[in-house]
Amino acid sequence: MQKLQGVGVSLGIAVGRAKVLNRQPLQVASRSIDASDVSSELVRFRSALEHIGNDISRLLDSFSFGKNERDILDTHRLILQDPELIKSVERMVRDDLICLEHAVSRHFQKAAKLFDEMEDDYMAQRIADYREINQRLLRHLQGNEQKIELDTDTILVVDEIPVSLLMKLSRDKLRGIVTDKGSRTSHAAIVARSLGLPVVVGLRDVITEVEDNAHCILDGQSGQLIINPDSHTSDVYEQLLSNQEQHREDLLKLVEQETATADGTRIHLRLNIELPEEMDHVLHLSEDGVGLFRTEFLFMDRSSLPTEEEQYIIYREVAEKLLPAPLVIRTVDIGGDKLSNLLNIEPEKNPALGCRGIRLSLEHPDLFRTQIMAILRAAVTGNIRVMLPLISCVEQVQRSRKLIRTCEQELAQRGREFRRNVPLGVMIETPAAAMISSVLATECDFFSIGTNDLIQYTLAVDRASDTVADQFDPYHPAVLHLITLTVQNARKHNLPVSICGEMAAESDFIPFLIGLGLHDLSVSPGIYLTAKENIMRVQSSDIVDLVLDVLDAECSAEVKQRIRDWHKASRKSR
Amino acid sequence: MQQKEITVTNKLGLHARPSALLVKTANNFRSELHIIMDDVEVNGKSIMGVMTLAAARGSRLVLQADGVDEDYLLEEIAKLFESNFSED
Repeated sequence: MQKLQGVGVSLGIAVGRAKVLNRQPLQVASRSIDASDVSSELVRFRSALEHIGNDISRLLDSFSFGKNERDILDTHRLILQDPELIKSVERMVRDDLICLEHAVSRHFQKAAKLFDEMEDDYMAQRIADYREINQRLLRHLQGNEQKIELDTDTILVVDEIPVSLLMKLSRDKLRGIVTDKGSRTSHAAIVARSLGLPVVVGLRDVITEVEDNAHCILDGQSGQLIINPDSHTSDVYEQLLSNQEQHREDLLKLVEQETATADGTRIHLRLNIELPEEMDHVLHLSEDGVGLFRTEFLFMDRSSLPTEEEQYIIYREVAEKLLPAPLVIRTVDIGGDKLSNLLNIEPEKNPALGCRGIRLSLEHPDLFRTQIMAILRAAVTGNIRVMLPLISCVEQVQRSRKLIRTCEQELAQRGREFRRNVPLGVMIETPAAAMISSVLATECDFFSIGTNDLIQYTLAVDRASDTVADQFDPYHPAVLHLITLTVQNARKHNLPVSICGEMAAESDFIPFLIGLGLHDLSVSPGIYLTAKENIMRVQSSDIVDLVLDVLDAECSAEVKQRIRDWHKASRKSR
Repeated sequence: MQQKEITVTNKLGLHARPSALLVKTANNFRSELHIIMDDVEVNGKSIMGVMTLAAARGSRLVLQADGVDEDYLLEEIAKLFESNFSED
């Protein structure tokens, strides 16, 4: 038995056999051919081009991709269809009498040299697309194109997961993925999470450590890959796995039911979405739409800022899929550290307290206006609301409103169709915003409480810090009082208020939150059904006392104890 | 044969996306397209040719089209440059 430690980015357990996809570059031996072989080589070439071209087309048709992925696949197709590629390879085969594989690699070597000489760094990196096509052609020609045919119960072991690969794999047979590289925020990790597929990343050299077909256990919680487990470990995990499967089946039954408490209070439970690619996998979960559409993906891994047109198309597409349910778009909530290459700004020492969220948007009005105009245009057909992140004073909301008005004027001048008075919401995720929520309520159309940041800023604890992460404490009375204050002020002004963040899914908090009067929750797809299950267990009559008890507690431990006691009592009374 | 001189005015020049758009547009026509910058000539239907031209903003290009639909081809390609490849 051997244990490898990585980082779990998508929870769950997988048991199965390893399938190692070693995507090492292929080496090609040069081989000369006879003149009589030329025509068969050329036929082989055309059929390889056609085969891979069809593959790409199929991939493009069968999934809804983000603009970036679509562009990449589109470029791959153009590289394959390039008349110069075809001409030069055919000429080398015919005139130099070298085998097809050799001709193909020679052509791409020339390409590599041309790209190498380019001054623009971003363009020089486009060689990666050529390299990929080169490798695919060679693999196909040498007959070992990786047909990603999976056996049942496969744990895929790869260098890193391209989204295109993930979407191509058979969902019924794939149990989990481990990668050498990658991070929690990589696109593939996000998609895997919303698919509920366990993933562990950052297992260095895992490709060489694991043998193909080895018996493996993948634990997304602990971030471990266990290779050839002993019988005791196997038994433990088999049991965990069967519990997990049972629970998953139970949860799936909930999809059909309306989201309501046990005594019939309708609760709106919406989705938090990070990528448009997630939509197709998660749409069936909720009829209540998306309560938080993060837009940071638009700004990641690229060399130029996203245009209005590009954003408009994405927003419209996502919003139309959800109709009549709403799409709440959060304007970009990103720190300058992530955008330094796009905006030409110096990285800051303390990005969490620096120029991020609404501050960054107001600091870079062009970026903000482009996003707002795309949203206002998409709102013509979609049920769209817009939400501002990291508000800490009322002036930020007033300035944003003013900017939105000028965007409306500009769109009118340009003769574009757009919607006026798109509902404008404020995220309550700083203690300052919660404290002044009665003032903020007069300046906006709804609140959304973002619990993850609210906890971080209230307690001054970075959840990613090794030393203080355990002090990231949702049970802290300060956090609960700020949430309560916000809800009370919203009610005073008759303002809709919702809550998003992990607290909104947890069995310990759902009764409390519903008891406060929060009937609009939004959670990420991976925990959606768990949240729904927790909601459906709540008895409205039981929770009045719980709220008072919890708000009366003096410390986290006491809060936790009172919630536990309440759970015990309510289980007994059922 | 028809030819037309244009200036690259979009911000990024013939970057990845504009190149792809140009080649895709050219592929809709039967005529051949050649793009000449300084003394380099590339096939306008070759993504590799267009990308490695690395035409930055401000570059002067000569577009040469040859074939039955050469007029339309030039017109459509010129439109792309005029609209700055819809970069906004």
